[in-house]
Amino acid sequence: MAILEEVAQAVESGEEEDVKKKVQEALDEGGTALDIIDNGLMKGMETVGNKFADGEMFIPEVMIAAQALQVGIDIVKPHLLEGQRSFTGKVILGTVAGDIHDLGKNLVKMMLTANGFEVIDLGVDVPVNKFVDSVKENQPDILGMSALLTTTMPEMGRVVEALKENGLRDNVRVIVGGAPVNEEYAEKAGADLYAENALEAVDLLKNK
Amino acid sequence: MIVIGELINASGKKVREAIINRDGEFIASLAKRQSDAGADYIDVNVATGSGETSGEVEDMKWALDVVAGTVDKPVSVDTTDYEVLKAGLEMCGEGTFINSVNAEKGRLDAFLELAREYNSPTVALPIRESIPEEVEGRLEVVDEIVKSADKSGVSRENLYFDPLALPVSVDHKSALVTLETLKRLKEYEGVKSTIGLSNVSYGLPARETLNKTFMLFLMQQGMDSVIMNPLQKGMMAAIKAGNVLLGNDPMCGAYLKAYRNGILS
Repeated sequence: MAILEEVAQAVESGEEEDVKKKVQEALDEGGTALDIIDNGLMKGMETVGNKFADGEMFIPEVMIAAQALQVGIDIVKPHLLEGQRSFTGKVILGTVAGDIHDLGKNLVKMMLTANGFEVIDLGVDVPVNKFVDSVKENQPDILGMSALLTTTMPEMGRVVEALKENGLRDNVRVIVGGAPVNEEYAEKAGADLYAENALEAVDLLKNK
Repeated sequence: MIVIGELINASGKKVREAIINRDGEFIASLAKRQSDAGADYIDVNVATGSGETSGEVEDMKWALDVVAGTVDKPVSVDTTDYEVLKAGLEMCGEGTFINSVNAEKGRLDAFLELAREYNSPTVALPIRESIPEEVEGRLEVVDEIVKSADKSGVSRENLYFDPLALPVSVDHKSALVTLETLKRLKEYEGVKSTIGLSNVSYGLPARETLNKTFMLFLMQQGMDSVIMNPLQKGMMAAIKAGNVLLGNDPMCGAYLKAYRNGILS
């Protein structure tokens, strides 16, 4: 369906009106909601993600595209069949206690949302029990933690421990990131995954 | 305009490894290059996150020793840990920069006490639990810190408030908030200003162009100091030029000296 390519193109250029129009056309032509999401809207966002990774597109443009994507999703959502999910997975995100850096976390949030994840953002300076309570309450597929200070990194391990103590560790995959964090440290903290940047995070969570 | 060279910082991988492996040559070279480029202070941050406070105290002492043995410039002790700061100030003495305090309870008063004892210029961040997004919120925290400093007997001339640069890629008006906060600092007689400014250009291409232009706007509003990478020649040249144009360089002496030292081209 050529119209899906146009949907993708509209997302990429961040033109909300275009997205609305093209998505409606796709529906009128008999396209299914899932097909329009996967092969139209998300395709466009994937291109944006790749261009961002290659330094061809920049944060403000990614944000505009993400908004356009959301407009499209909102239109097709009511057309999803019972049981079909409009998102790839549910993620809880937060910057650990004592740490108020939110740039990286927000970028991850933006990229995950753009890739169809449902994101619950707990904000910054999130204490251990708030992570645990939120996992208990929202039953996410993934818990993502960010730390930008070497002094706050150990919080990640504490959250993982607390998840274990509450019998929640096996229900959720834990991914961590932030400038001072590396693969080795992530393992030490008991995380499942480490991502060096927002795109890698999306890649890992989509494909693993 | 005081330039604090930011490159000796353990959040960078190479520096972190150099500290852990006691690679004095690497640290010395960073100190020397920044000093040659015109940095007035050399910032030293050793938070490698690999050990306990006692280890960090040792790391700080080691790094300060390397810097002192290499360049004849004062340093800025960059830490959130009281013991690390204390050890650094004991080694380097009066006039050493403290980087930094914020309004976080407990730490503020303890750090201010050291600032008074060592007559240290001190970077102050108007941050409480989070970064206030608006000017008013930042000024409330400034007010709180100024009051604590007045009470502690820290002279206002030693307080360098950072009006906080946030990425314009995320919020295109964020630099205006920074500039307005800087302007409003004048409500507190005597206090000074500094900034870690490269954050402003995060997520955008050609970052140095933005950083440089922002720098000039800040200077025009009376910015006293900047924490930056002095190896970026364009930035250093812009500062020298800005100082001339704002009437802060009598007979253009520093500008001409910089020219002869090859810093302007």
